[in-house]
Amino acid sequence: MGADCRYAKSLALEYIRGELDASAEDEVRTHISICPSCRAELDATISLLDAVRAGTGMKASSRFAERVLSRAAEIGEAPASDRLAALVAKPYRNIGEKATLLVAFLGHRFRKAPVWAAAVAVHAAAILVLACVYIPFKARDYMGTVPTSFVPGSAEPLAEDLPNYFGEGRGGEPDIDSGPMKIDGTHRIEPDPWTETGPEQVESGRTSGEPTPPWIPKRINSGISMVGAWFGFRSDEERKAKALEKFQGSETAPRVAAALKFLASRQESDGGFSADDPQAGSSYRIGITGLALLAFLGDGNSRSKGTYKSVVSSGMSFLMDNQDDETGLFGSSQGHYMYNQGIAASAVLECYGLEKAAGRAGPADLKESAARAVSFIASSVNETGGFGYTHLEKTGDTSVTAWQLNALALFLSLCPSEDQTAVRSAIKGVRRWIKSVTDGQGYVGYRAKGGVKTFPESMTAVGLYMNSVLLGNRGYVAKRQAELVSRKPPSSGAPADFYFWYYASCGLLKTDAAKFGEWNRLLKKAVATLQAEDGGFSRASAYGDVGGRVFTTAMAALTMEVYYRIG
Amino acid sequence: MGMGTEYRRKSDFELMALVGGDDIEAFAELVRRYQDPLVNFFYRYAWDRFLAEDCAQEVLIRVFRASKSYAPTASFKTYLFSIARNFWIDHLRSSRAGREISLQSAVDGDETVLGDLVESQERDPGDGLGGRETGEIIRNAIDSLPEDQKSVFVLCQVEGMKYSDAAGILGIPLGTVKSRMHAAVEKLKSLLKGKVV
Repeated sequence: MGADCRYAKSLALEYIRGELDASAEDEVRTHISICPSCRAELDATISLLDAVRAGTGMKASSRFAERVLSRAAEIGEAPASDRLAALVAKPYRNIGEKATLLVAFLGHRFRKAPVWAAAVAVHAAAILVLACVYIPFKARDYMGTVPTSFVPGSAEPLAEDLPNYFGEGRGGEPDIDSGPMKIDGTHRIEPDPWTETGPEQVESGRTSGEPTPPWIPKRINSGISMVGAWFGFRSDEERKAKALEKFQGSETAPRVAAALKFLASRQESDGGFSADDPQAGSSYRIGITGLALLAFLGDGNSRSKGTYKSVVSSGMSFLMDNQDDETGLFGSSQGHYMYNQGIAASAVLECYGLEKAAGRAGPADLKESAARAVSFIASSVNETGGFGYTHLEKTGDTSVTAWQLNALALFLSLCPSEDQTAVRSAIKGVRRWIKSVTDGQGYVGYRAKGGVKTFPESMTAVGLYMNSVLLGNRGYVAKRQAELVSRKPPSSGAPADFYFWYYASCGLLKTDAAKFGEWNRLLKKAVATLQAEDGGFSRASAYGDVGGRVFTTAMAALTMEVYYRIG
Repeated sequence: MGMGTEYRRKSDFELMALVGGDDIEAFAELVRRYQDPLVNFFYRYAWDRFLAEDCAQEVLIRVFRASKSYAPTASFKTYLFSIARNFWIDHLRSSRAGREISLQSAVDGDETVLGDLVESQERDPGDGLGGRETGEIIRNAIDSLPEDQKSVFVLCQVEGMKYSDAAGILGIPLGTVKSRMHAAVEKLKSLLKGKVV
């Protein structure tokens, strides 16, 4: 490199940024016009800087200005609402901005209004909105232009969304490499910044001696996109490639293997699984089968690979054989069937994802089953944004809703070429729900805010998991919930609660690596004393009286697998 | 011509003078001009949308409170980002001391912050570059810069400030800004080679 090249290189950044004086700029321009090497380097630098700028941008949300102005109005000397009112009354930039200010004004003006007045205002607004929606809809109905595709049993037409599931839009397999999110666990084997950083960069201030896997990200920023990493390191090869054994500990893999062996022994001739309790078994067979299959899938088994591929294959057949072709509902519409639906849909989607991850296009039967199942789920969200035990049940339930979110998020991630309008809408509903049941301390209610008195951490763990799916590890709520949940670590001293432990493990893994490390250490300790010789777990644990040993063992396996099941 | 257009033609200094006289529309115009750069600035440090917006909001409110005593010295942008940088430093200190922004405000706060997430799937950082992984790689690379280089890089490259303005905000000599910027870019080149460009 000659002197001119060194000189040009030293000024390259200032040249790109237009911060050179005229003579220096001329010198650099002259040099790069005759030096291909410096020209190429300059172009590379420009590309890099453009990529960094474009790749990390973030704009203020649509209500940001409204919040700031509302607060500012509180501060000034003139009566705030008067000043905002004057502002709104002025000719302004556009309707959107004016509306923003109007909302700020109304919010401020009526912030201290009595409850009855607020209620009247809300109802009036609701009636107005409904009238705006209902009247045109009915008008279309009379004119015979309303789409005729309905989800049976749905109170509302899903209209435009359905043709893409059942009509021409169904089309071929999506190209997983060109989708917005890669799901084929293999991409995580490629060198990336997560794996290069090492445990010491994961979280500072860790108190646990438990090592943290190198792939746990310090930050996950893309919210829903984290579900693109559902498939972690499920196979032995993947775990070995990542040297996860030393983080995982040598005891977990044999315990998971023993649990799966126990579960396999409980599979019935039709491919399904049942709870010990005959009554519960009949109404929850779909859900219990789904949970058992998730445990197998969690360890890398699918229909085409793994020690238990035949178990998975016949289990999937059982689920699909029991799915209604039209509605997409798994099993019967008796009892608390939305649990069954969310769990079974999650199992089918995970199996589909693993088949895709194994380099295949993805089995069409699984995809079709999943699409129908998710369509049913998306049509079942109630007006509060939550899901109840049954289709459109008015009373939502955080635990049921979590399973539906699981399936919805998987579908969003795995089937990017499908019409996801209804799924996105349902996920928005779930966000409303989780917010509505979260109290000021971060505790999550079962059916309403503050509704859980005896063991609020349990439903809070479910909420933490939901927040982690929706938000990654962002936000104070999730951080606070991680703190709350981690105060009730696994222990063999009390009846096991694998349902709580499972959700807490998932949520902590996604939210707080340090807390997860300590949690996982205690979990392994507790599990070691709870697992029976046959590999199963006692029904004398939370919900074991209903789900029996298949349920407790499946949940225990899923809990142990969290470490490598989700990335 | 509407009042909004009139405000849009005013300089930052003029607007600040009006804000000092309790003209909230002038403040609205300043918010409109700087909300994205400020949120962007904090996002580069926090990688957390909630936090970035909370911090940006606090900074704008500080500016509003200080408007009566505001005396133009350097550019308004330099003034604003000096407050932002100091706020971030204070935030880090207070976070370490265990203080956090009200949980209640996060729970009962803006629906739009949560509501943006699903919609933002198409417009998340990095999408335009071939996928979320790219954005994640870039974020990790920026995070790996030493703090002094990161500060310069964020101000100069991300916020598009002149070296002299960045020097003023950071309180360091112009030459130091240049050398840190060069070092940051060279490190990013080595980290991102073959990954994003």
